Amino acid sequence: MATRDLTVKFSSLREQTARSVRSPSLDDSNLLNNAQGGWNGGGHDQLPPMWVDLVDQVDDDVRNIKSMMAKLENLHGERVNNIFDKDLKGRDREIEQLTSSITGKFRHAEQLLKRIGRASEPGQTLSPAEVKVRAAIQSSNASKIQQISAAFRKLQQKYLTDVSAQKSGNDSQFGVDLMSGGGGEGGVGFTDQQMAVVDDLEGIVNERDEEIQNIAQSIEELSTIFKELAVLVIDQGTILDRIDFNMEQVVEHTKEGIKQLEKAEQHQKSARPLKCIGCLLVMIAVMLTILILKHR
Amino acid sequence: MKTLLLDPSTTQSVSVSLSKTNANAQELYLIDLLGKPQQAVGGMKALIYVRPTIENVEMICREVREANYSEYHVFFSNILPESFLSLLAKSDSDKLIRQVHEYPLDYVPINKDLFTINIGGSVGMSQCWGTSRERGVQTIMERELQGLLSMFLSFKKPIQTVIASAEPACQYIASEVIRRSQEDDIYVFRSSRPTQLLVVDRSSDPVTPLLSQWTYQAMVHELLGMNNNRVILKGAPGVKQDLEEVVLASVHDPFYDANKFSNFGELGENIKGLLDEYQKETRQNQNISTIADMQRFMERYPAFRSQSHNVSKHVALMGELARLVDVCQLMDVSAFEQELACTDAHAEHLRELVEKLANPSIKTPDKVRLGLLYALRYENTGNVSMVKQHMSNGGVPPDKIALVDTMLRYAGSKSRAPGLYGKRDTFSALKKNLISSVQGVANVYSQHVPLLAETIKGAFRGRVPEHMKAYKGGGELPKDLFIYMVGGTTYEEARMVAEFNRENEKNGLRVILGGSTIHNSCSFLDEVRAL
Repeated sequence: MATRDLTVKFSSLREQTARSVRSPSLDDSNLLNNAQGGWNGGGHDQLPPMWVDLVDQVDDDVRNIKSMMAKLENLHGERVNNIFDKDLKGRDREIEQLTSSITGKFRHAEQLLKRIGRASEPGQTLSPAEVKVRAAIQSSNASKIQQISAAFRKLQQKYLTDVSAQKSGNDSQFGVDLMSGGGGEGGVGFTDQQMAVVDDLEGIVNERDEEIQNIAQSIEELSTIFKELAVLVIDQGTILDRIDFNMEQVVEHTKEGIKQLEKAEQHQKSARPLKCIGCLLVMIAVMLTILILKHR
Repeated sequence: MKTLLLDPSTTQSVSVSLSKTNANAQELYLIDLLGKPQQAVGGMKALIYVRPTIENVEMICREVREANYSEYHVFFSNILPESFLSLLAKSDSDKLIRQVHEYPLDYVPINKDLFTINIGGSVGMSQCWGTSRERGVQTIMERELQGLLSMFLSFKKPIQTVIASAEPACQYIASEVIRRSQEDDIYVFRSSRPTQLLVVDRSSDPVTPLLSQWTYQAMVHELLGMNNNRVILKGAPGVKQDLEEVVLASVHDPFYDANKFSNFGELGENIKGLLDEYQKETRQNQNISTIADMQRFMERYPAFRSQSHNVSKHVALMGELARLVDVCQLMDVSAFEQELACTDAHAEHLRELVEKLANPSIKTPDKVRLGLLYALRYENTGNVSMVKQHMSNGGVPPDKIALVDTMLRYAGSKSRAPGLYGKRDTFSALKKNLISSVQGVANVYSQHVPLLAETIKGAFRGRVPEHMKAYKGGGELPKDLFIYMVGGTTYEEARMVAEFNRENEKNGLRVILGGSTIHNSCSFLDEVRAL
């Protein structure tokens, strides 16, 4: 697309008009004008509302999650590739911690998003524009988080399958070892050495199981978040995703509102309640006179 | 956080190219019309994208003075006159406007090779020329010119050769395009591909918009009406509430993109394939027994949901189209329409026409179209007044019958450019007959080829019809051909252009088709009636 930037031309034009408006003789007044202009300009910058902080926090969360995920991926890789590492446990713990803190961040971000939808300072009614902005922010951030969480779950799953594949591989390896060892002894019993191996293996297996369970749990947690976010996300390609449709909806709503207001006004104006009251008053007076006449 | 402020015209062009989700992802959280009272939300910037008209510029000035936003970034969809710029500069005493840019996109892109200005009432432009109504169409003409010029800018193509049909509106557009592009150096581009602009008038081919259509995009437009890719299904029997209005856009809907030019039969088959795929997916989602299955389901869920919407959309559309075809007996009507459009056989046609006009189960609008097609073909040799009588007997109201005369005035053999029904000599007729008898007719419902096909082929060979006049350049054969149809184009022509582009991709030839609007028979006849 051939575009043209008119900003420079515009600025110089603006300077020109500004100069011609201000008195060119006095430098001081010029300065004063400048200062005033600056102040006026500043005056329009209202303080952003509270919930903007929340949006910033969500952004922070997203950024953190991304960097943490990169780190986690590295750790996963190292963990899967170096099974003979001495410090397996420490590494596992590290992975576990990182995973749970990422899940925590996801939950945090999701709660923040919910709050963006709700939060309003007490005693303040929201303008429709603000409501719309918040809804838009919610849905766009929700889809962002959804994408990342899908990526995260994929990462987890890959690790899970890698680890369990390794586990089963190891088991069969050791299993063969055991069998052959057992065969040598004539199947009478296990030597101490073998027992030690079995103990060790059991320990490792238990640990792995725990690990896998942890991961499965975190995946499950994520999927609930995912489900809750899905409500907020608008499907691409539907009529709800059309800009003009949304703008028309606003107009429709406004029209509807005006209609309702007019109706209300009519109701207010209409003399029916007044007539009723008058009628009742007359009736009461009549009844009273009848009562008085009767009791005389 | 940003707000996007649009005007009604840029709303259209932005809406077809940008979805709300896309906009939100760019931190455009609020999208509104310029000039509506703005409620300030603290800390937001405003992005304004409007056409450079005096009304819009004044609204921007007012908005900047009110300063509802902390800063303004102003973009125009076309070339901004200098006077407007200084007007803006005067109002911006607080220096809130951070940038002013021209991003020329003063039209609505529909397909890859089809655009529309979306302005009605341009059918009669050539007829109004030189009469008292000329001033009324001047604004329309101006709008079309601006849209056309902006298209060259957004494609970054120089205006090298301009050829225009003989109608006064086309001539005017051609000469103005040349004049204006020479005034501003923004129109200068370096291009190794010779570019040609061809301006033609709708009146040269009044037949194409009158025919029933059988390809998806064209059919939806003809039977349901399509407005900037939006289709209203409300009122169709058995349509769910979330499908009362649907979007058919190639960008978000790969199935539609692949099938918009498929004919009705193919479409039915493809939709069935889509449905099968969906059913397979559903079955997969049904047997969830392990956690792994659950996880897999969660992963697929968003895609599955949008797929489900997509499938039900196409099924609903197809259902409604099929219902209309059935109710209006379109198979029958369309076969005869094609006959009327393509072959010369007066006695036979007259007999069948009278039969069709008397048939009570054929709807009135279809009778009108048949009558018009007959009148256009046998204007001089046939018995038009008798057909009108039969139309009236068949229940066509008098104002619709009057359309016959209006149509003949608009695009009869005297007023339209020659070439609509081919050369009327025995030799070419014989040749045509021979070809069709040897090759056979592939599809009765798609025999008709728009006149534009002939024109396009001629233009790439450097042989344009005699009535067209070259305004500028010439010599070199074009590689990029821009066609602008004054009075509106149709989806049938768009399909033909798309097909041409696909076939000639390896030759490096490309056609871009544009029009004042995109007609179906209904909108076309409405405009003709207003003449």
